[in-house]
Amino acid sequence: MEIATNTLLWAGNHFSHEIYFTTTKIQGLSWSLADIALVWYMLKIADFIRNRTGKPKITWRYYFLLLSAILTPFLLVMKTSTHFFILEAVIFALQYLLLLYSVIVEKKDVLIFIKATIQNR
Amino acid sequence: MFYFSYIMALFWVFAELFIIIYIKKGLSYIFQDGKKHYGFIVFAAVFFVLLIFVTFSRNDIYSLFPHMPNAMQKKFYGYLLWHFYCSQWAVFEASITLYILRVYARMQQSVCQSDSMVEKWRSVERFAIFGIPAFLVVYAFIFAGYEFLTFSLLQRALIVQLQLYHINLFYIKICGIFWIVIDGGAAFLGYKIFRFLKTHNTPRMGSPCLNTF
Repeated sequence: MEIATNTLLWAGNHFSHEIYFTTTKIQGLSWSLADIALVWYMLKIADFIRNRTGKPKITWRYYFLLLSAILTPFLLVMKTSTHFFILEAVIFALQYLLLLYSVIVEKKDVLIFIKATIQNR
Repeated sequence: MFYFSYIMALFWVFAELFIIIYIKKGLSYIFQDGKKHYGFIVFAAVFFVLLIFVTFSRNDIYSLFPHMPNAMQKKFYGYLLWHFYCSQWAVFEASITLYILRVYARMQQSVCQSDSMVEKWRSVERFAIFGIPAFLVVYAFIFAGYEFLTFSLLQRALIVQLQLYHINLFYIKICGIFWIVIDGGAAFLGYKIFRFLKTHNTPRMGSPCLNTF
């Protein structure tokens, strides 16, 4: 309990906005890259299953993902927390909309395919 | 900026809850357990409506902290609310990642050549199943403990407004570390599942095995 209290008091005295903002820029870049990789592989899986089921390849969703990837490095040059948050919101909105749309559109084929993959062994 | 921040925050919560519902229903389809998950869907809807209420009725909720100066009440409640959002993002994202891990573990079991390997992947699957409530409980303790300690420091007048602000930033930083690890883990699982599908001879639509569904 005392360690936790001392940690909070240390944070209260030393964890300034400047430290927070600098580290957040690096963190923002890291988690945006992680999300880009996540959406990328989700689209690759969906594309792989589309190929197996004779459906056309995904195209425009990759362009939206590319747009979020192009915007990501600009997180590092944001001057204020407000600007950083707005840009971060735009990047994550793009990525989450891609996730949501893909979950809705690809659900049926992906589930049938994975079920068949698991059961036919 | 307040409305923009919280509308975006609510959008992320909505998206994550929506994805969790889809994944839960998808898992039930794959594992054929017959669950409809109506209970979780109702819980998610009620939770989301309550979240909108506590977010946009701040003035009524400040009175929950009557022993603080008014400015401190507003600050503390504002930070507490944002911390709650940060915490639930971590919990929801961890849940999604663990559900994906469960599917991957089941896929691995289907190609295992030996019993020991099957047992190993069963253990991973069990970890994924029990990991979700375990993570929820641990994170709830972290959140509650942090807010309780901060509240106690405020009540004993051991910190001023600037220190409260720094303590608020420190919590968001802790959550940020969780987000990177969890999102990175989900991306890695996406890669592993993609490799699995490419490496193993997965069925084609129209083949006898797929026609059975």
